[in-house]
Amino acid sequence: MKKEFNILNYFNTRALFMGVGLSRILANTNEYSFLAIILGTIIGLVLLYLLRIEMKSSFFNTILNSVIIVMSLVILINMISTMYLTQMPKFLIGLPFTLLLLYLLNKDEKVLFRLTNILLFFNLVYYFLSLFPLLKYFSFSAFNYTNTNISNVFVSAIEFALFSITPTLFTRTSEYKDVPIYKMYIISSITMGVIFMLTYGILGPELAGIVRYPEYLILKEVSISSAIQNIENIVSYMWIIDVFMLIASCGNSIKHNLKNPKMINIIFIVLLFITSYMNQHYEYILVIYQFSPIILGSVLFLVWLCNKKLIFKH
Amino acid sequence: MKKLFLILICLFFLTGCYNYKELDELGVVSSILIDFKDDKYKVKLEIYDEEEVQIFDGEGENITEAFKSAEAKSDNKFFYRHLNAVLVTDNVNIEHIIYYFFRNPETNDNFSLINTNDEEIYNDEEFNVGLAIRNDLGYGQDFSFFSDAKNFINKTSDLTLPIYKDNKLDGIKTLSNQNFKSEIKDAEENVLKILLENNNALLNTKCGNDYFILEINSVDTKIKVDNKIKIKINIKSGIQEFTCSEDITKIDDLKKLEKLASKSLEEDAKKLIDKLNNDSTDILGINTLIMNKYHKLDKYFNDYDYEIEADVSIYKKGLLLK
Repeated sequence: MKKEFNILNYFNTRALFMGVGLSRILANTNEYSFLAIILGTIIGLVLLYLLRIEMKSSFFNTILNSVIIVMSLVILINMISTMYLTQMPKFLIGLPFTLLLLYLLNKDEKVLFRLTNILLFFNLVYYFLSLFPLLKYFSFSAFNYTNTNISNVFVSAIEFALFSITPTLFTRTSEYKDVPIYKMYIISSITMGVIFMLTYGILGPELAGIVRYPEYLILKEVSISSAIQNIENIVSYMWIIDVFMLIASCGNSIKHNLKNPKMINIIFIVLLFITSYMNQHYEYILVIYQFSPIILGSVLFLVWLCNKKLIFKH
Repeated sequence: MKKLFLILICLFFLTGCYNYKELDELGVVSSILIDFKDDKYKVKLEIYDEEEVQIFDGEGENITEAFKSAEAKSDNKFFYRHLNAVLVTDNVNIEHIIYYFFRNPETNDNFSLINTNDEEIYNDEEFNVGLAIRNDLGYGQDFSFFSDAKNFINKTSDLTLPIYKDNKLDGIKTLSNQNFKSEIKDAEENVLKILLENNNALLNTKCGNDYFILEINSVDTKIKVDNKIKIKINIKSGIQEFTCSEDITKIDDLKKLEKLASKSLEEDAKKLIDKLNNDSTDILGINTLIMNKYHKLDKYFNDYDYEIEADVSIYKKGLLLK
């Protein structure tokens, strides 16, 4: 199961960049975004090495994982509602996801890991299917001088680390806490780094800063000769898979800490209603966009405060 | 029992998309003409239905209202995913148009933004204007809405829009600060395409009273900012038409033709750049290059002198030796 747990972290590392992390970092660092990614990956690796979070309180574990679930679900549903199903009520978009997640979480953990293996294949297919056609649109001329403050690069590097490691830290249960995840973290960061660079190289400074879901927008350009076009809705499944697996992973972490695992059903239904309420008010989406690094940082700090069990490995 | 329950739920939720429409309920939009007159947007939408096209017009105080009023005249829901072209007149605020279509997730991004001042472009119900423009411009990046919008929003260079006139594409219109400027046609159009690294260009060169036409196979334009703006153009081309007296089986004569073509291109490019500088149109994105180099814009692109060097090489002669 170690291998599967590592694969799960491939998704966890990438998921929070969709809709939030990627556009924030690109907008703040512009032509220096590659520096923020490299620095962020190093900071993330150091934190992964130093921090061994062990959730003792099931209550706090539930709350903190729920924060991540709600954040990702709000962004996912909003993205689907903006891009694919523009007329459909957001609650109805979230409902099949929740049912599918509940079905998955009511099964044994090995089902989740098996699904991880299968979805990794599809994720990589979509990734490379979009990567190669997009390379021709990449232009170094997009990396123009933009008078970006270098301090933004350091702040964004910390944001990158927070977006990438927080889900991994929370979902690492006592069973898997010693699994070396650095290799997968680096692979995942490289794939994210390529998406960052492609997005910036295709969109350029101003556009990457103002557009909602820049990572989706570039997929609109994916075409294979003139015969296969407008396939962005298919290749963007890679983002949906990332977020779906993150939510499943957080749900699994909650289930692990509950005395009665069946409670996960009630928790997820409550979370769906919270998400639906938040999705009705765009200001919550803006709050998530603007304050997500603070939310994630606070969540990590809370873990330290509540558990006081940060083990520094030497 | 649990499985049965799940299957029953799936029956309700997996029946199809919420906003699903049958194909015959959709009006597939091929092109849109947008004009702004008397403080009102006037739109005409070209809808294709098998072999015929239908035109729906609408007007309103804003673009959305104009589209709604046109759609209200049709039984179908308009579908913009196969949009080929959006034609705008000189009266339209191009910024509004670009932001409107960029915000809208229901359109594709690879249609072409075209300039026209013909009011009656849809006069033949068997002629699909949008498709004709798409076939003429192709499916590449050149003149796609995405690259136009990208340049416009990033402010890397001023826009150029193909002109649609008398049922065909005829020249290119330049813009500066959202205002339409001059028309570039014929030989100038070819030079502009070369400067923009567009392979779809021809090079017409005189040799005494005769001429030869080169088809561009690849073009590489490098621009360097120094105390002058240095533009270096490298072209690989093939002979398309040849009426000169030179014997192109001889290396010396071939070199002579290459020199003639290079010199002619340098002169034409100089003339075009003078014209663009007079219009304050920075199509080549030179202000961005200046900004990259000096991190400030003390001098703008039209304050510099230009030095143009062209190197045209002929590497194909077609099926004939001479």
